[in-house]
Amino acid sequence: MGINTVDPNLIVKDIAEELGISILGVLVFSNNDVVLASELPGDLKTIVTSLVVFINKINTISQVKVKSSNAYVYAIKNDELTVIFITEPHIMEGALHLLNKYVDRLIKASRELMSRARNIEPMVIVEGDEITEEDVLMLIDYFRSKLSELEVRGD
Amino acid sequence: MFKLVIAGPYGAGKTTFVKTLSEVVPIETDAPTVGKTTTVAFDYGKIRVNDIVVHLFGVPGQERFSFLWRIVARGMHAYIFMVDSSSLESVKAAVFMYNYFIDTFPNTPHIIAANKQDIAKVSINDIRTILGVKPEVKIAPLIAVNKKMVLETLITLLSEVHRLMYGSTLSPISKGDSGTGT
Repeated sequence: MGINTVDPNLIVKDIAEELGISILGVLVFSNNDVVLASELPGDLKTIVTSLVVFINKINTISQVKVKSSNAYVYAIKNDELTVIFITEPHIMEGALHLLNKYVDRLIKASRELMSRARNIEPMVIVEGDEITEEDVLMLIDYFRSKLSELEVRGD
Repeated sequence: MFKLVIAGPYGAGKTTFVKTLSEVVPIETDAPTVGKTTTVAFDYGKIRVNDIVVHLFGVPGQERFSFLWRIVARGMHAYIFMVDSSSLESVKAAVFMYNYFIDTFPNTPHIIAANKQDIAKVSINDIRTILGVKPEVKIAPLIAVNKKMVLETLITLLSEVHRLMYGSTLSPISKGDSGTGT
């Protein structure tokens, strides 16, 4: 039943080993929802979330680079997916493009994860029926009786 | 059919809660990570009560699976948001997911379950403060392997469902806080 997925933390490690670039985080979003994410310093989450919302509002954007005092964020849009690399702020802009070689791998892994999730979706989209006050009271009575049984048994 | 969702961050005890409550062998979707397992899709269990089937869905806690949260939670009647009281870091890590549920399902009845009370390090008051839980939302103490406490938590939630849907208060069962921040 499990979904096997790539570990974005390993991609961070690979980038450091293969390119010598220190990456603070790698994420993939589907629209505004996270699909894959490495460990990420908490103070960077806000800037990443804001950036993704911004990118998704403007259809014509394919790449965005944002530099702040503590990070350089490089975002690449691929249809509804957005790949985000976060590096140290002092990295040379040209070096960011070396990261493009990892985009396909991240996109592929994200699409596989989403595809597998869709396969199990029919099992989870069960929606609750209309329930009446009597239904709720009956459930409460039932679970109270179960609780009483446990108490009587001394469990 | 009554749909109940168990939400909360990684390691809060959602899978255990579903296992303790379910009358059938629950579907578990834990996948191996490095040296441990974690829920990556959802846990599922059910309880039949006369003509009503209570479906229990536990959702994965990691933010990277947040796209599943909305799918699993669709059409739910209520949810229990579970936190690990034994870890301040874990409670802090729950803020994002709790805000997501509050923002996405603002009108759905819910309570907070403060799990791992046997080894708790974070008080219920602190959990309320850290998560920003509104005063009217109850926080129930829980040990998810203890069936009695699991039933009390469920009754507390159902009482909240009744209160919010039908506007009347039932006699309290849970030892959870009164919702006044005490």
